[in-house]
Amino acid sequence: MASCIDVQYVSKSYGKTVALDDVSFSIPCGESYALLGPNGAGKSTTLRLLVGLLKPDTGTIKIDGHEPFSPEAKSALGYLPEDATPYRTLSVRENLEYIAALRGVKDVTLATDRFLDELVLREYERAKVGKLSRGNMQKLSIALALIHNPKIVLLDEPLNYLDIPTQERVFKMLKSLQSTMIVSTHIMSIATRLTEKVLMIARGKIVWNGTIDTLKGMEVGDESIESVVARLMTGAS
Amino acid sequence: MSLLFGGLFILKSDRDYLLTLPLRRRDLSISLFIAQFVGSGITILFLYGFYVAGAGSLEDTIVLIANLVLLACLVTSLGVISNILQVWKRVGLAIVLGLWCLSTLLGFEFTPVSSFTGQLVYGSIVLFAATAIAVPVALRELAYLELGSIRSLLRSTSTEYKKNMSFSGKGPIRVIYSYHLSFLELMGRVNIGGSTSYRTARIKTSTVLIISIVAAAVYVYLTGFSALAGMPLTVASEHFTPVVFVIPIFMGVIILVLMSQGTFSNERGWLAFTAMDPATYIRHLLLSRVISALAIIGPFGVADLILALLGLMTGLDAALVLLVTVPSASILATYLVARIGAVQQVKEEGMMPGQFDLRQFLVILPTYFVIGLIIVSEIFLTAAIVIAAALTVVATLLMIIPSVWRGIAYRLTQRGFI
Repeated sequence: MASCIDVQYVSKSYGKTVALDDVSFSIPCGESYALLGPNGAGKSTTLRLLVGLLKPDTGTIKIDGHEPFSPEAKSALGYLPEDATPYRTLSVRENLEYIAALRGVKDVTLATDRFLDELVLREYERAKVGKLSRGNMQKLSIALALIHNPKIVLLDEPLNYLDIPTQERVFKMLKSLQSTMIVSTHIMSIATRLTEKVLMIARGKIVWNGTIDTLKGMEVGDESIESVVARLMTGAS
Repeated sequence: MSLLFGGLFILKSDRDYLLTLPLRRRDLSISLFIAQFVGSGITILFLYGFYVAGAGSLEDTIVLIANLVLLACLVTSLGVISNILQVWKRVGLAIVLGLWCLSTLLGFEFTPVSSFTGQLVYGSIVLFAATAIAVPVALRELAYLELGSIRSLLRSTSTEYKKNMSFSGKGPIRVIYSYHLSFLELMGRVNIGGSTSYRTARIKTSTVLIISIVAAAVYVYLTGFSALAGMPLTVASEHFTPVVFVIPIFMGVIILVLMSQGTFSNERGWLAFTAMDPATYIRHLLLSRVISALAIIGPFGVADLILALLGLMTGLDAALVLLVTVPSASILATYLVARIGAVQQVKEEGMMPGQFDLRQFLVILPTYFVIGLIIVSEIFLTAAIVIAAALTVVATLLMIIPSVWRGIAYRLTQRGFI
């Protein structure tokens, strides 16, 4: 199967701090991966490199066969950072229309209306984003990341701040996308519901790569999957 | 101004961690007041500092320096007090205080600022009394600060726009212009009269243009046609009219700050820079913001051309400055400020977006440099032409190199702009 995301020997440092150290991995088109790792492991840096917001110091990244900053890669990618904030001086509807138009979506109104309804944002369409609750801001951010129907979706803690009914709505929406997906999360239930495979990163290196089922198979006795993950992240046997 | 636009110099982390510590708030109030003083009251030293230089004797100088400190404390306190007042009380009290202070210009001796206009004894007494009342009230407010009240800085604004702007049916580039030509976006640190807070607002460009045209028409009338036009001013001469000289400097500072601090503070890299090449996006963003800035200064530039046609030749220099030098310089200033990483992304209103370091103060340097260029331009027409041409060439060169702006996008991302 062709790779939609291909990362080869990538390193990235911020001054003297090494964020990623010679990282390589490949994600076939259509597959969903959870990106797991402790705080400061390099997860957010990985996503920012994939989306072209940062440049690697060494190594190569290909998105659907293209450089991350190429127009082809940009139109294929949908990205949601952690604690995303949309444009604060625009309303909910204006944000959706602006980004849809910026991304060259053909029917901006249709795409906007679809997300207003699917994420139950219709009653806030004229609301100033700066006045929204954090949960509604997160719903809007998810819609902004997906409005152009991206082939590859990169999500950093997508369910933060969402109430349970909205979480279920978002689960359903993401499962129906049929996109290649990387979901960075600390919550295993999100990883197991949204993805089939896991990339585990610690101290800037890939420490484990495999399926969720394999991970479950590594449970010893009544050990939880979280304990297995913690064991792998810290390198404990 | 402090009462009208006052705010608290408190970080989000202060609200969430410092103010929730099991410490007696009274023990913290002095520290919070000092932080407030450093952040806002100190501006008063710059605004009124030059009065001290005009003091005659050593005794007068010492008293004025002490009064300057008292005035800074008073202004700092009023900024804090504004946080507890309802809007109508704040506005009412601000108007009364403003009129009271302005009355010193009419010779009234008993105002908090009278010591700076020659009434040293009475002015000092009134200032001391006002400060003695305001500071304890401010300290009390800081001691019993309601954590939720910090958000109440936003209480007077509505939660919805009356009408949505439509971006439907527009292409990716056109939509950037549509957004930034429709509204002037004001965002970031607002510091008026020494009071600092963080706000976001948008104003219709058409409204700004109308106000600016009316103001420019009044300016042309007063400077070119009215009795005031021939009024002998201290430094006025046949070739030098102070107001024509000062307005380009004043407007230049406004535009430079608006552009250099405001262009990126509300930008969202995760949306804009991932939707298209950051170089393309930033360049169109800058151009659209420069064009919308012309809504503020353009009418005054045209007004200056009219004045030049009426025979006031300084108007030609001023028009050149407003229509060419300032827009070009604002592109350079925006680049420099982003390049040295001295711009903050505003994510939450009513709070400082982050801690400030020396680089924040460096942002003033390009502004001072441009003010110097504006002054030289206004004195010598040849210099005005050369400076305008040189800045336009440099700004154009900067705009046509994509790697410059991609570098800015990477730099902003590395500094936490997402």
